[in-house]
Amino acid sequence: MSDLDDEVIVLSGLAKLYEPTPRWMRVFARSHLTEPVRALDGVDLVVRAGEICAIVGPNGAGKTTLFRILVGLTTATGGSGRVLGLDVERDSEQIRQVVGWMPSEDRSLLMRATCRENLQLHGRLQGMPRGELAERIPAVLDTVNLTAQTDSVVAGLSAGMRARLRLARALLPGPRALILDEPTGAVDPIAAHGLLTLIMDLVKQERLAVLLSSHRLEEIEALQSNALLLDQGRVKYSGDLDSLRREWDRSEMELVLDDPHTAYQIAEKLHAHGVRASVDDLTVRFRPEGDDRVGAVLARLGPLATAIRHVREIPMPLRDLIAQVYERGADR
Amino acid sequence: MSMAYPSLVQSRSRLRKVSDTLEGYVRIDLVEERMFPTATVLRYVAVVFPVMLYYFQSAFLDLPDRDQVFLMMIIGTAVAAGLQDALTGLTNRLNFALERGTLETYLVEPVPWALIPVAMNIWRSFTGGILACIMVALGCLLGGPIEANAIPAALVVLFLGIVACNALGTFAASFIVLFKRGDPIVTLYGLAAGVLGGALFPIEVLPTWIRWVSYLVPHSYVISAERELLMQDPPPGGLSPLWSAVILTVFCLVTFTAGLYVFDRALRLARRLGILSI
Repeated sequence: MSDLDDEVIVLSGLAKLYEPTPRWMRVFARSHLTEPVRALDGVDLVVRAGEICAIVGPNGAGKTTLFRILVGLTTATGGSGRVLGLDVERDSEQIRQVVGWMPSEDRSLLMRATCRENLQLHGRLQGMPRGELAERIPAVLDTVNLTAQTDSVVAGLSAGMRARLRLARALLPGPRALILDEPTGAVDPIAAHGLLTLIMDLVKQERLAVLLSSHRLEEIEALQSNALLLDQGRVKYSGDLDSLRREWDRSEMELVLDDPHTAYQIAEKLHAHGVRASVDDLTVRFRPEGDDRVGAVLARLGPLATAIRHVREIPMPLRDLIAQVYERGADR
Repeated sequence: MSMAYPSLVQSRSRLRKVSDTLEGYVRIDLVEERMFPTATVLRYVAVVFPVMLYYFQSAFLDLPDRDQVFLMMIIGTAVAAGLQDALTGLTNRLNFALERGTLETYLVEPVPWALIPVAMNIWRSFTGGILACIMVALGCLLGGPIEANAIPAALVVLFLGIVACNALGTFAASFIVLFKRGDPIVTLYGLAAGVLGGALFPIEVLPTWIRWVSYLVPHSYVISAERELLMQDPPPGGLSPLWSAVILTVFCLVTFTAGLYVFDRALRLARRLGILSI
């Protein structure tokens, strides 16, 4: 199978400009939009089968708009989007048949209905035959580890269970692509870890293409996914996290010494060479500037280098890395 | 998981989509009825009281044709109540879904959006019709003599009235999609229809200029036809049931076509503006 055959979600120059609400409409209801707002500006993206792509960005970056265009809740004003070869504008109904959508809020579930009833309703609207639905519901509830809650009313489930039920609903008809809007939003870290492990397993086993948004950057790192960094509708970075790290990571170096006096001497020496360093008892921390190599920095220390007991590299947390891309990164 | 995971999502014919959608929404309504069982039961119990109200009122007025006056009021009130459900059911459901956040879930299902207003209101319209029948049946039990052999024709006219009110409901639904509030319009229309449709009196009582407005309201034709069909001695001046049925059929065809067109345009505009479901 070629790379082209593997492409599930393809966005090309996708743009969305929200128009101000027409004046005649404002007579009936107060508008939240009186000026045009550019929500997406030329977004290119390819998500292949078996890949996860995390959409990252501050509030208002355009993540939700991107998802809403894909499932047909709003239209693009420029560029194009395709899911499994179907056009997001023209073939919206068919796309909703092949995409599993997991909204961010529990409110999308019928709270006083049972897990089984919620899935039955969704399955029938998806056009699943009764026989297949009867087999599929236990299987999908087993996948998300909710078998014991099959006939429990949703209102009585924990936030983690409800999130898993939302995922079960998205998986029920066997979609080839999943769109997950903040899947772990209200879930505790342990339940979130379980949910993400499940998503990763599904991606591997079923070669699903997954597009998700999350504010929890450590989760995105754990998913080993690609990332699309958005800011005010524009792509700041698109690619895998390893490349992002290679390109942007400026790891911090930690030198461990035998006595605080030498630590201060080394810090002063580093300052003298224009490298900012901090001292904490027996350790000195510094970040090499620009293209400076660690070896070159240490060589500048002269005889003091022999007093160094350990050298440790502290990778930049993903949060800081992304913040740096937003602060300094040129648009791509 | 792998064994149970479907290999491909099946494609469906248009007809299958329509039947799946209608069944799906009726199922949602049945689940919701079961969610709040007492509310469901009380809704049916509540119709006893208007029947009793008009029974005792007609007893108090003590007119010579007391049973006929009682039946005239019961038929008018039952039809108005039944049609009100068909009229307001959709706006209530849409408002509820908007407030609860389930509308987005409904819209991302692979079903034709134009079908949603019809599907959403089927159960409520059906139960509205049942309530109207229960009210008339209670009236009959309390001594209101009805023409039993006209019941099938009366049900057909009631069905046409329900379809007509569903058609009007799609206009209100379009309003909700764009402006998020449609109930004031429907409430206003419902209250006006009570007067203009002649729920408690024949519309011949109304001044001529108001009566012309009555002819634009489907309630007038349904109530008039039901009285003509079910009462032994209907109020004079009413249209023949056949003419009422013909007018209602034309009304349904025109209003439903226009209503679904307007709803479709409203959805398109809301989608473009990004205000669908928010």
